[in-house]
Amino acid sequence: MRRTIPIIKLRQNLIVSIQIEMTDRLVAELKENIAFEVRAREVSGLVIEVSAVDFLDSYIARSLQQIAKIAACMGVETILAGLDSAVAITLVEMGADMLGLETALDLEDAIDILEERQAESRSEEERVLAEIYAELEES
Amino acid sequence: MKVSDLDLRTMLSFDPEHGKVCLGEDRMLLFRQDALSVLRRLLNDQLGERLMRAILSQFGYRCGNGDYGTLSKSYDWETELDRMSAGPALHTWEGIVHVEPTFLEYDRDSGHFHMRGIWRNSYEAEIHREIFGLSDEPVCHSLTGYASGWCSAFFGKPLIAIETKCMGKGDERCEFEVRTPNAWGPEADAWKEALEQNDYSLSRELEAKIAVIQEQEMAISELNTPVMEIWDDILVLPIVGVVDTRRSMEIMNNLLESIEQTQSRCVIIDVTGVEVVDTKTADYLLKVMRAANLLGSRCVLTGLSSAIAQTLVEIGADLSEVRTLRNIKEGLKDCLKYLRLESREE
Repeated sequence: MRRTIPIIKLRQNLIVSIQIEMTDRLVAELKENIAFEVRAREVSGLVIEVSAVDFLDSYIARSLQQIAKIAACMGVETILAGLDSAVAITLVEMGADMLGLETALDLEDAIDILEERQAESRSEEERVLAEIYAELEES
Repeated sequence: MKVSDLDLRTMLSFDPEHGKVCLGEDRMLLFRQDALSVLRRLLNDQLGERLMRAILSQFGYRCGNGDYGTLSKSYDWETELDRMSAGPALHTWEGIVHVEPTFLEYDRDSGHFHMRGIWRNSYEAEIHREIFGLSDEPVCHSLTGYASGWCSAFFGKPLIAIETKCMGKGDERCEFEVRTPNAWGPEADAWKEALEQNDYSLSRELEAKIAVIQEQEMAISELNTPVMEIWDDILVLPIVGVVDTRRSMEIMNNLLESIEQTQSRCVIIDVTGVEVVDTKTADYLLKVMRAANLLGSRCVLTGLSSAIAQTLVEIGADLSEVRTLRNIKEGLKDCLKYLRLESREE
């Protein structure tokens, strides 16, 4: 399996930073690799960082959406971070639909959002488990 | 009558009025050699070498056995030797092969029989080489069958003919040898087996195999979709192995039945053990979940492999109504959380 774009694990999240021009072949490879990593690693979030990308066509935009959906299938949520303003305008003008793909200002922001959610869900999980343990002890 | 008087030209009666050729009272048939070679190839391709050999050997055996019956009944032979030698002579006249017996010795009292001879221009070796090229083994199966059939009928006891040299495997001519089964060592086993093969049948074997497959299918379908209640109100359905449309049907029925019985509010469908599904099945899995939702159960799908995840997304499956989580652990936590929240609201 080719690994042109590195996929990094940071605590509970995977980080993919795209620093090179995206081609159709590259985006297909990335899709495969992310699907594989999401399955193999114990993570609950994925950040795709695109601040260095100054061109996104509709095919690549749709592929990014697909990546997010695939990750969601495996219980991982995706945030697109650092979309360039020019790219954003182009996407809007093309009418490319980025709906369903959550975005954040930059990588830091994205990680913050994800970790906050993870902490929230963890604390709720702990509360529920505590309740259950208490109940089990009673019975 | 002497064997040298044997002349098939006068013995055969052609009766075009009735569309018959007869030897004595028996109807004989003329075939094209190239048609027989098609038949041989079909036998080999459809039934395999072993069955082809058995069929040809037994076909030849019947020819030899029947020829002896007709000839010994219809003609008065001067000597036993003439009667015996009529077989090779008739085989030659029939155009099957040129037979030249080189050695014959038998004793009816002690049950001893031994014959050797040379075959030239065997039609069988000719067509076999034409279709299959050179063979490693002798190929004149109907010829050895004929020799066995004729000699057995003459001797009144079973005899086995084998081929020691064969044009089909590159020898200059074919040679055969006939003895009683007991006098033969393991070298004649293949010929014995070919003549004895009555109980083996391809269709019977297929039927038996189909029966086994059906049994296994029953066993598998009983085993493969257990639904477990792992917590109050939580069912788990682990799916392992290959999921085809038929199986997903069973899974659906099983699951819905269990939901009805246990009135569970959560269902975790775990597909960790499934590597790949086709688009139809992926679609079907989603239907299972939708049906469970209709019954009022909350469905969680866990352990999707990356391949399945990609399939689901590529077919554009609507996953908005399905909760998919990483693994069964996350699924259980999620269900517990959900049930807690619900009970708190109440």
